[in-house]
Amino acid sequence: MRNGIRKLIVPVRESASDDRGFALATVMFMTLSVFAVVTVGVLTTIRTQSGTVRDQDTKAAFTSAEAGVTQALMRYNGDFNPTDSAPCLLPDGTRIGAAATQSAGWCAPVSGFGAGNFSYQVCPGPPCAEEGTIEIVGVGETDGVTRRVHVVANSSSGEQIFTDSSVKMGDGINLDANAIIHAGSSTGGDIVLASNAKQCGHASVGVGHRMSTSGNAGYYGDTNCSGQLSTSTVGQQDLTLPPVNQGAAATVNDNCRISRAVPVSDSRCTFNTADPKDLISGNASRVSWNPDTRQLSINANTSLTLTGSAYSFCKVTLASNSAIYLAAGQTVAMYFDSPEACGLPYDVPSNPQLGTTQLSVDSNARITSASGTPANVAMLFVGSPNRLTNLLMSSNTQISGSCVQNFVIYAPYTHIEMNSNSQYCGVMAGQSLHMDSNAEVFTNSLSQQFTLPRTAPHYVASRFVECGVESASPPDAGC
Amino acid sequence: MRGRSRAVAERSRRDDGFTLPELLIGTVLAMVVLGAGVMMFTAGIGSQPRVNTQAGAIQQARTSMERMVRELRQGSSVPVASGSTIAVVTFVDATTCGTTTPQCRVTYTCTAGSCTRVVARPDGSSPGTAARVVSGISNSSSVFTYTPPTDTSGATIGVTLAFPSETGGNAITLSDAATLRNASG
Repeated sequence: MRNGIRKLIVPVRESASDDRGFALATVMFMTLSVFAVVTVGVLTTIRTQSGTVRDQDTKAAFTSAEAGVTQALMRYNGDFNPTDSAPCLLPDGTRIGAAATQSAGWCAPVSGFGAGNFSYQVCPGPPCAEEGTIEIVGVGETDGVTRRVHVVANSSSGEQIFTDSSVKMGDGINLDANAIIHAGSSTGGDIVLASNAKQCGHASVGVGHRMSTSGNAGYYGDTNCSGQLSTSTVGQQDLTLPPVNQGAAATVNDNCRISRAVPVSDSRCTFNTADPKDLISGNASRVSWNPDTRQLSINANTSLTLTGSAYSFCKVTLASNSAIYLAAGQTVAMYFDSPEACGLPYDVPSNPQLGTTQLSVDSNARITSASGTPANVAMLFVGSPNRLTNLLMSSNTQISGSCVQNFVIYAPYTHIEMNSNSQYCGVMAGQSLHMDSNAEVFTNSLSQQFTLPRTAPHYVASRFVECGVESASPPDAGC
Repeated sequence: MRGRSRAVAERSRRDDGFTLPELLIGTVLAMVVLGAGVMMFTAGIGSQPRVNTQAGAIQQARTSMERMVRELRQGSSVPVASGSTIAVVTFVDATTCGTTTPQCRVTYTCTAGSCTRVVARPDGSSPGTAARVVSGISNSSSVFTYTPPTDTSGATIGVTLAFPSETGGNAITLSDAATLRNASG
């Protein structure tokens, strides 16, 4: 047995002692083969990785460019009142202050850095941007990858925005049941006309949107509803309605005149005999005014004549033949603060998408000039981008009376609802408009010339594009 | 010095070469190793064109993806949205759709492994010629996802391009998304 095992072990041991390893050529072939295969894999991986890295750098550069634009918008929206000689906001090492423009109307570039480097350049108005707009070019750079974006931002401050059309709605215009607009209209959405409704005056819809008609509704070329046009002739253009900047109107206003007229206790007001006050006609007990919540309600054949020039409200309700009169020749700005600042609840708490009504004119109520001669009235709704607000006119109500008034509703976040024979004369801008049951809108040239109050501008971006080349002169070339 | 030369000479005299079994076993082993090496090398070389083709398709897809997302990002409205088709009214060279407005309608349609791009007027009329921008994808019916705008966020479009793996493993997927910067509301 032992000899048998030894016979097996000895040849193996001898063979092992004679083992001289692989031949050199074999090792060389093995090494080359493995090296070739590994090289193919490594090259492919490197190529894939370089694409991924560039993708990441591209996104980082783009984000940096947007950061520059955002920073510019934040700075120019920070209560900055530009002047013609110094419309730029530039850092001087210790602070950011007004400065003059450089070549072609562009401000000097401003740099910043974060995850990547960025810079921005601003055109604060003519000649390189339109009146009431600023243009911003942001450039971002990450690891040698550069991206450039161009943003146009609009402000309504101090602008005449109704010269081209009297009815402007951001999201759309919807007319039903004999409703008629006797004015030029424009919207960023669709115009829908149904059941004998008429758009009398040239109209435009948003880019890619359309006008549609049904049930004998029609589109006419002039405000007298003559010369019917095909809906395919309606124009298309962008529409941006910048928000209202009410400045100090929430605290600096003529609300004390209402408090004195009612009268109600108001710690913000003096109550001397010589102090100006508004006028109440009818039963003063039917005028409800809370100076703290800024809610006004007038009812039952009673009227209030406003004698001041600026009022701040949260909610106004007119009903049952009540009226707000404006003294002839008077210029009045009625600001409606945001629903959040006012602490207003939703109309239907279980259905928040119905929003919050801030002006309700119902049952033969009216807002008009005291004597029928022209008055200048602007109802400016701050609104909210997060909560819908409403303006309701219904049941034979009128805003303006005979159409010789300078009435303006500017409510870019507010839905306007006109119903049941209500009439409005002037110009209006809102988020959306629905007219029903013989409601009518008229306009006049006085209203179209209205200039929105000049406060610190609030710019909102209206056009965003990515530019095609990495650097250019002027800065917006190739965008 | 002389002693060291003598040792080398003796070792050289004792070198009596490979035996026949050694040569046979060495040859067999060398053939096996060489065969394996050649097979690996051939497989690597053979797959290189396919890898190159796929890498090229992915690189093309990256470029197309960046273009798609850029056009979607600066879009203002989305008239058509499905898993295989997305149409967006966006800022492109207006002369490409023959309109005076600065925007055109760009439609991407994906079928049978390829995606095409068509430029038309904002209302969809006068469409131009379809140009193929992506090929070789495996998810033609689920390239796009559209999330409508809400009170707190804008309309968002996602783009996913999936490429089947050459070796039957995991697919390579490119994915990106953009919120429409020019959408109203």
